[in-house]
Amino acid sequence: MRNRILIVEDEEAIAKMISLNLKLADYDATILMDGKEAADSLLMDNQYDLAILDIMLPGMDGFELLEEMKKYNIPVIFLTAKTDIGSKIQGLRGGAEDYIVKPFDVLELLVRIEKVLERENKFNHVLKVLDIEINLDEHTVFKNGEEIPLKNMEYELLVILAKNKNIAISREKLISMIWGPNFSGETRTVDVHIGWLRKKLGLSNHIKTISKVGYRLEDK
Amino acid sequence: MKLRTRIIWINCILFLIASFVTELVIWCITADSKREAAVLRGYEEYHEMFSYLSDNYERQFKEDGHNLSVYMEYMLKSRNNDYDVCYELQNDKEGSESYREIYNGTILTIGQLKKYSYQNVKEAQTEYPVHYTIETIKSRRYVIIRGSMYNNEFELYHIRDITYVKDELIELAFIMVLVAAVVAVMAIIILNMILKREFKALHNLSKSAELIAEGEYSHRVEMTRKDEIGILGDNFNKMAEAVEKRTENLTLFMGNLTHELKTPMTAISGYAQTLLSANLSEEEKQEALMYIYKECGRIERMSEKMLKLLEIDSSMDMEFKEVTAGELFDDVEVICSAILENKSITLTIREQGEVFVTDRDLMTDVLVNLVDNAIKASEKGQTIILMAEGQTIYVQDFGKGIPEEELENILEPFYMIDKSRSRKSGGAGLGLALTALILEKTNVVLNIESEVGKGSRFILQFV
Repeated sequence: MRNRILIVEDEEAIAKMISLNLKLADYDATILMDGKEAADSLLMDNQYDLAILDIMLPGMDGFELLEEMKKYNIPVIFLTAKTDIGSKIQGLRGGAEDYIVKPFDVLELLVRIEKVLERENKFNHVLKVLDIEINLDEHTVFKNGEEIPLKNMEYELLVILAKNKNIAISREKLISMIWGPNFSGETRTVDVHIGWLRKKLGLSNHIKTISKVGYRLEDK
Repeated sequence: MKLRTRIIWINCILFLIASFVTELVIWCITADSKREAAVLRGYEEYHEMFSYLSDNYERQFKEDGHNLSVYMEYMLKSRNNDYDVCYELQNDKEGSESYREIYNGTILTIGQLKKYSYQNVKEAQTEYPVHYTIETIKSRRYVIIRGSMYNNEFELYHIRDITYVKDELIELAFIMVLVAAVVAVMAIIILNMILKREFKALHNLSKSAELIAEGEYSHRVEMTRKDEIGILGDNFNKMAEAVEKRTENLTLFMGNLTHELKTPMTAISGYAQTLLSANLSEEEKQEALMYIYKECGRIERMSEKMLKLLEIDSSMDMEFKEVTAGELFDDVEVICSAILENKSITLTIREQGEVFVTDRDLMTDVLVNLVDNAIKASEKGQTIILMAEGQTIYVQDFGKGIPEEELENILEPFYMIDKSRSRKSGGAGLGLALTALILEKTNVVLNIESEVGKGSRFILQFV
């Protein structure tokens, strides 16, 4: 079951951009552009796993809307251009799970969404890509029902690519995410591991090398 | 050199000059007075001798029938001092004068005595004139009194040492100079202390100016004095207030600007990232590119308006010429024709050849902005009135209207009453700010009347 995420943002361009990326990452995204409208709509449909709220909204501002979200236990990530500490504190104190400032790195948003969902135990524990199933609890990987044993690093690499499927991630980011930001090894390590993944899981055609950007696991 | 030091130097020099001149005058007067006194004293002594001689003769020797000159000689010799001189004048038959010394207790000869030039002693109380002179002999000062007795038969001289006068005068001069110097030094010290206090206020002012220059715009100087420096302090605070206000406004403006820029930037950067890294369908790619394009357009329009705001604010050259209402309104109609048609809105123009003196281009910008706003506020099929009457222009619409509490905000840069609607039509909230600035610079008074649901009227009064 896909996670459902509500986006409340009055800037059409930004709302659509976020929804596009969420869809690519296998989430179900709904866009609303007015605070009051959003609050009212919750009465009819409140089965969201997460809400991304802009603070400056017409109808009802983000902080007020947060209160509504809390009633239905929907965790909230605030999205805003206000960088002052006051707003940040107000937001987090009010009960938001996280706070991200515009302009932001889309990947960062996705990672934060993931973290919140994991914390709330709403995150899907089984990732499905093509014919591969990854069980995040048990750290097992199945292809067509058959378990494929993977080394630790290979597993981590696969999980990241799968979580961000259809989105390219650079070698540097991959290293930072898996081996930690202080890793002084070569980025060639990543290439080597990608090679093993491709071989072990038959993903040579699906783990694509995007020049100047990085690696991307495609399921289309 | 510091002002304080300069003031002290000037004061010092002036004081010294003044006291020098005063002291010189006093010293001269004192010198004259002392000399006069010395002369007078000398005369008194002479007179004493004179009386001594004449009195006794009257009494004693005349009775005895003694010779006058013998008597004189006797008298003077019995006195035997070294101040007196007496000569007997003798005229021989040819008429030339010669002298016979009767008594001379001094170091001077008659020849020497005769050489000097004498002046009258005004205070003389004898029948015969008395003269005096003051001479320096062998580095000592003497007053010589000269008189005569018994029909000029005898010439009497009296000498008095008055060197003491010179000594006293020198001592006096010395004391005067010393006192002047001491007072001058004390004056410097006291003046310095006083000035230091007075200048403290200036010093504070200077330090405050430094603080403000470094960015502490809320700093004010404490000024309780009422004099010129107090006024300076007050004015300084006024200036600081104005600077603080300006920077506050600027900060607010910059804050709003940054915010307005961040929004389209978020979208553009986000879509670009997505296009680069994500596996998108053709449709999704198109949509992403379209949004990038739209948002760029928004930034473009906003920066254009901002540049204009800055340009006009820094008093660019405006051309004030005569232009008729008809010319202005026609321009506006042409520019707005497309959007008017789009919403099927009618623009009604009313004018009777009024003439305005203004910058044509800027005023056209203003009217276009107001008409544009009117169009945005109106529904399809409504009317907008553009009217000129006397020296006033009216822009009237019958649309949404502006709530009273928003009226004071709408002229602020970036302020938008209905953000999503304004942004959808590509606005950034700068139009009215620009309009307000232009009107301010061209001396036009703006009044806004509006009722929610009924419409708005923008009144431009040309002064």
